Amino acid sequence: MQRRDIIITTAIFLLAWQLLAMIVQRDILPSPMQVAVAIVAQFGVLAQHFIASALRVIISVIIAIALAVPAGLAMGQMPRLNRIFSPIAYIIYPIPKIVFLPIVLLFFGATDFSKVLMIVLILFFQILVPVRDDAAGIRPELLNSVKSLGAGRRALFRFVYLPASLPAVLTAVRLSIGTAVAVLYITETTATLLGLGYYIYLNASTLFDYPATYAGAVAMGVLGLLLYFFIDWLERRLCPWKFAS
Amino acid sequence: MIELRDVTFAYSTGKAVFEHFNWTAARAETWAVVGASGGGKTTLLMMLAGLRLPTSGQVLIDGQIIERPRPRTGLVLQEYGLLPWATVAENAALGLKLRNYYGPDGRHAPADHTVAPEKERVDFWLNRLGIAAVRNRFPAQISGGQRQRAAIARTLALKPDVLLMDEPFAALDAPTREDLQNLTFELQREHQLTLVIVTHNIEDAVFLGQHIMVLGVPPQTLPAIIANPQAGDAEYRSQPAFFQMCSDVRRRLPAQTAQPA
Repeated sequence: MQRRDIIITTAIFLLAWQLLAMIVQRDILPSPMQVAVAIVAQFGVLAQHFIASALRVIISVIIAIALAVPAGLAMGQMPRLNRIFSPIAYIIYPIPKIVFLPIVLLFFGATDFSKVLMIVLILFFQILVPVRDDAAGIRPELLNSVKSLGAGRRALFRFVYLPASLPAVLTAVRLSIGTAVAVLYITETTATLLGLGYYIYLNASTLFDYPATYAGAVAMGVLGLLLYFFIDWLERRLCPWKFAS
Repeated sequence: MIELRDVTFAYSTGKAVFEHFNWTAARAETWAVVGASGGGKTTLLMMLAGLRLPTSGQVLIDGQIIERPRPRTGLVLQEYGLLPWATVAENAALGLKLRNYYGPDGRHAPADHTVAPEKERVDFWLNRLGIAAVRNRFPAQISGGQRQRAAIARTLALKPDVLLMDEPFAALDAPTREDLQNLTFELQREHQLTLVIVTHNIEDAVFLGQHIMVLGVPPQTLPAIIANPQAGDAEYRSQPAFFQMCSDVRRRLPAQTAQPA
């Protein structure tokens, strides 16, 4: 998306919000200006929560990629392995893993590990499946021609399977960012004192500071958006062939 | 140079494509293999490339039994052989990169392979094949002819002594096709390559194959071989002898059974 489009869309969004706030006229829907004031006033605190949340989600995404990509590539390359693990992935994939949050908390306590584990659990399958399908879909002609150049399994992995799966990985990560941030919010509303989820929840249900609540929501949106832009940038860097006309 | 000794090849369905098949090709000869679809042309090429193993019998190249891809055998396929995510120059360098990756282990790279700078050799071949100008483009951005030239450059950068080609000109228009046929023959002469080209196109076969192997209805037992000494001469294409040879080959082909499109 062009920078101009982003600015115009943001302006329209803010305008709609302002109009809605003027129509509703209630504390629970502050205007963008009130929220902007809250952001400036609480910038230091908000930044702390933002960094905590960002670190959790970034670490989770990295771990999920590091686990799901090799597993997906292996399953895509080895039909026997795929026959064993595909039914397992098929059954686990649609289970809403967020429902295990209380159990994960019981096992691992109110730690960052629990939160990261929860996000990794969800992202793992969202990345595994498309990467596996991409690896399995590589044309045999391409594999044969690279094998004929001398490539063994190790080189095929490095020079064919890995680069071939990159677009699928990035697409899966991009699609998962929304989920990751949503899960992050849920995990942060319990058993923590740091993170945007906690900040939003505290301001909304304990302090009843609505502009601050919205400030937290905006920060969370910005977090998702920044991650989204980062993946876009990464895709342009790592897969220039996809953008070549 | 190439020898098939009593080769039998059957697919897992049990249907034999080759049965006690024998064939030899001398160094620097050019061979064209023609035949109906499903006759075993590509299977033969895959066995020569070491990508399929015979059910029984032996495939030998330069006295060595082929059980896996041989470092000095080059393979050029019709399409899809180039990495879509790599530029022309990166694709042309792939074989050398793989050799440098493994080192001179005698399996993936020749035992006498010296880790050499890739760029110089790749540049030479990109220039030789006339695709230096598109070196930074991706395969999807160049023409079919240029893609095929890139695939040839990639293979020849590895200094092969045997070049196997599977329908290499099938997707090309007529002028590009003739141009690449001439180039292939030129390169074959320059580098004394033993060339085996599999094609369903009779003109390709007659222009490139000093020997033409016609595969009939499988299982193949005894290859029908036609000598075609004028192959490779650019003038040959417009001579009556060329058309005569084409019709000879066509006559020997088995009647094509209806193939689903």
